[in-house]
Amino acid sequence: MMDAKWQKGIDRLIHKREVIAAAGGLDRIAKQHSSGKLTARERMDALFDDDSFCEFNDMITSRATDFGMDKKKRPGDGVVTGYGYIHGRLAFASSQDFTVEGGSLGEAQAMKICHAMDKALEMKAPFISINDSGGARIEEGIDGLSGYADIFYRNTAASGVIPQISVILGPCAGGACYSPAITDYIFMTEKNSQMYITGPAVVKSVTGEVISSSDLGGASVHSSTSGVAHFVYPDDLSCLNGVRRLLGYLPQNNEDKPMHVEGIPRDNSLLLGDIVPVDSRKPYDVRKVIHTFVDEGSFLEIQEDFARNLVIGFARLDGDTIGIVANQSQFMAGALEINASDKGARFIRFCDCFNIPILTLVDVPAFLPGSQQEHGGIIRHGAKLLFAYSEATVPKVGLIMRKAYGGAYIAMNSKGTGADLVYAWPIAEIAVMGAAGAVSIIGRKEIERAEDPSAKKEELLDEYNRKFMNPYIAAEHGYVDEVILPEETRTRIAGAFRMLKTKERSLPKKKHGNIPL
Amino acid sequence: METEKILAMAVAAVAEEKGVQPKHVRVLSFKEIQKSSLEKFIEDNHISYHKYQLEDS
Repeated sequence: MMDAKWQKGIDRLIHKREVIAAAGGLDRIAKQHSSGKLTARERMDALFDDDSFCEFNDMITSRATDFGMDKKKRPGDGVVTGYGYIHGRLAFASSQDFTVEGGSLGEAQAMKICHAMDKALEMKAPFISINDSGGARIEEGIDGLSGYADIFYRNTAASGVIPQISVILGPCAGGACYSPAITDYIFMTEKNSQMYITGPAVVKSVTGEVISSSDLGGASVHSSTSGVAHFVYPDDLSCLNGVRRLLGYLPQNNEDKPMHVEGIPRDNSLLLGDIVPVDSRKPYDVRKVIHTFVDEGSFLEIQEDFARNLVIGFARLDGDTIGIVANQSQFMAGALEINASDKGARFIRFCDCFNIPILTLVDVPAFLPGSQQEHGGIIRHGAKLLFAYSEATVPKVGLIMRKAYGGAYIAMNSKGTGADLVYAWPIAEIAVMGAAGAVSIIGRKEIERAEDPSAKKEELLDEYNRKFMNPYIAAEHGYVDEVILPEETRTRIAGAFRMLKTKERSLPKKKHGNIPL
Repeated sequence: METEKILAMAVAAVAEEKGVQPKHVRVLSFKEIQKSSLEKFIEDNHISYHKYQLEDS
């Protein structure tokens, strides 16, 4: 028979646990469910492997008493934090509870989140932040607000050390946006996520502009226009499954390697001749090229609706993760511009932080010309891509598929910027610029002086095409390591990454480089 | 299913695993595990859901 004091203590704890599990109450949980959202703890269950989540600080409460806070406080203070396992590997997470004070961030909530972040950094394991909050808890004044600074500080310290993922499953407004912005990847859901620094009401009062919250900061806007969001899913469950999928490509930390996942190797390189038209002005979907040689179903595209002229994503080759950067000729003929430069550079830097080899598929006519690009700072943004490739010390393999012209060729993992191996197909054209542009400059006087200018132009075009629009001069001069047949594509790429597995390259000692932001 | 039947099946499984007679297996405690809130939500809303799971090979 158990001692009565034991029983009393156990009963008290069970009651406390029931209060904690009830969060903001049944009505608020029902409201959360009716809007298609899960509760904070349900999200943790969906995020982590079954029955693996362990909670921290579930009884913590706010110390605030002003503005009736002494009567409103709830155990947990509007956030669930803890650790668990994803694909059997340790991870830490926080999940804001909208049913408790709208998930608002106060001193105790920030302390809980920071505690989980500190543990993630100490254990060198990924951190996932699930956001569903009205913002800073006004009743707590500066103590709540400064909690954001504590989080940003830790996000920055952990950047490049552990993967950090933000999942926006409700509102994320004001200063709260900057934690996700510092992290590596942002997930959103189609209907329930919003991110903005100032909401529609403030926008209206300050600028007079009338705009809905979804038009201002919904998933569609952030995945296609601003480039803030990396992944969008229909609902909480699919979104959290997406986080699990992404983590399957990543290592635990910057000293680890990504997990090896045995898949189904595929080599449909023979189809490449049908996928890629010889005429360099004809578009094709570069994702079809990727699918011919990566492990079956392994390509995970990132930011697929933003800067669509550049495709980025993870895939597996013989079970190992690689990062892929590829020009997409279906949009802007694959030209590089401001957004594509930013998108590519950030992805390359992520891969370099976390020991993920990079494959670059090149079919690029130029940096996009025009005053909009020049005035928007294409010089500054394009430089990021050059900087990122030059700085990256992970294995870097390139394949020049068709066009590789001018500065854009240099920016797409050229040998000079540190590429380990560069391959080219026989139809590749590696030159300062396309034939028409080149002839109009270098042959202008000759054409003007000719008796038959159009015949002369054709003659010069033929000469330029014959001499320069091929991969052989680049191969003769060492800028291309090998010109390969399409059917050799997978064999060469996989072989190159296998050979480069033990690569060691270091940069001069420095605090950090100064990338042109 | 009745609790007695579930218990009998559990006892039989443990006995087989340990290679002993079921009568030598003594049940000290028995706790019914409730469905989680997430499981209930998925069931109530007839959601088709499979957790994405990988294994490090």
